[in-house]
Amino acid sequence: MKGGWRQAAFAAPGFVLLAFLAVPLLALVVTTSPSELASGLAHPLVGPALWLSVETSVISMAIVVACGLPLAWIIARGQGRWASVVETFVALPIVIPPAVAGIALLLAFGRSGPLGAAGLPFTTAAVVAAQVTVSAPFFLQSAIAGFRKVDPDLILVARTLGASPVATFFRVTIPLAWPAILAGLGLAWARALGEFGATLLFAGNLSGRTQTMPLAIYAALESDVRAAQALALLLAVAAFGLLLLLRLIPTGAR
Amino acid sequence: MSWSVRLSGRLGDLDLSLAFESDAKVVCVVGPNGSGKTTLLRAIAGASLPVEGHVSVGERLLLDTTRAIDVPPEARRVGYVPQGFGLFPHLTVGDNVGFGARDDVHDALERYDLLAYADRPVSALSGGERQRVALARAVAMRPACLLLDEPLSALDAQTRRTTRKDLAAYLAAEAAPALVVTHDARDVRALGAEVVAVEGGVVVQQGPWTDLAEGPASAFLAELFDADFVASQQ
Repeated sequence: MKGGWRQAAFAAPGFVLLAFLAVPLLALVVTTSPSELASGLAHPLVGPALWLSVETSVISMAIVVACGLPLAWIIARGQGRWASVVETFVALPIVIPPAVAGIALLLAFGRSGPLGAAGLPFTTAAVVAAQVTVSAPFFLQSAIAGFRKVDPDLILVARTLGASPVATFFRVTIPLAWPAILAGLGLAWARALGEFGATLLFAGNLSGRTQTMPLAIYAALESDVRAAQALALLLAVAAFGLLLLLRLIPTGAR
Repeated sequence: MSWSVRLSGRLGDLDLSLAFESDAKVVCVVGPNGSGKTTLLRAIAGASLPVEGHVSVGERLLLDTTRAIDVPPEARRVGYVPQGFGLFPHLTVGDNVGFGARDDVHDALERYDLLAYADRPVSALSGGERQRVALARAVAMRPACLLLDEPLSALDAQTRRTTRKDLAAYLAAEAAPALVVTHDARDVRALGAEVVAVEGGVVVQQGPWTDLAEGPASAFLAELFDADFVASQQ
């Protein structure tokens, strides 16, 4: 009996944390009704924000994958000091606050910045830039780990069987690292969909142009809480869907 | 000359300084773990390693660092079978054999008794079957030579005996010369091979296996062939 009491005392803080994590999410669902949800979704802020979030995050992920795969491969194969320096550097945005990333982007691409000629700030392209900045590290980390696990002997075998380095990359390396690549994509996508701070500072909060779903939640709070809640629910469902998808990915082909 | 190899370089703890020439069709490379056997095969296959020297197989010059010649793996035409066979786990048996095939895949599968397995994933195969897939895949690209790294060590004792006989027959039937890494004297005997003995990155003895068994140049070789003799008496 005494042991059971001790176990309960040990577990109690864990359950407090679990409740703390679960209650707000439950509140998001139970404090609304289907009719309120419907009227929230009909709010004029919702449609453009939803569409913009889908559009920008898809473009961001295309950029992250197209540029991230080769970079991850180079870092994974790289030896010595420079490879670990680059690897640490590309992981930096994970720990840097989004507001800092936003200011840094603004300073780089602002009118008087070194890349000011691009005219990026406060455009839809700036939304994509902010999303790529904050989400790419999640993709890179996972892809690098996936590539590192590919047996170098399999790559050498593919080469001796006549495949060029590029053909080997697409026919052997990517299929073998696929679960890790997909997991990284899921994490990066969730991060891009949720991007708020860097977007607000670098792209602003213009409906239809730079106002993604998280920014629309912020804007809707001032006028219509139901719209904010509907958007929040949509985002939560999307995030949960991505998480579920990640869990369903087989962890290895072997 | 079937084989002409001269390689040197520092790889981790190992000071490699390997040189041998041989006209034998099947050459067995023996030696203790970490002596440079696998490195030798990988270097001949074309892995990017910090080595210098010269490698030619038959008429084909694969590496000559003094003339800045380093043929990339895809142009070397070596049938490389690494330890554990190196099968592509995401492909079927048929797609593995067809990966770089110049020969008809159906013929290759048939020759190695794999037709019934063509559509199976390689994970569903036994050790002996996996070895046949690796061999079939290597020979289907019509290699100028075969490089087999411990082709029998991943098998259980019973499979090993029959597979050893099969391997000897396959290698005899193929036109390409083969370099076989092993640390089992029974493999050497079954393959009727010339032996190159490697220890600590250098060749310590070379010759027909009967010569090495009679006058082994090192304690490792003495034990290798002694254990074999004892095993053959049982």
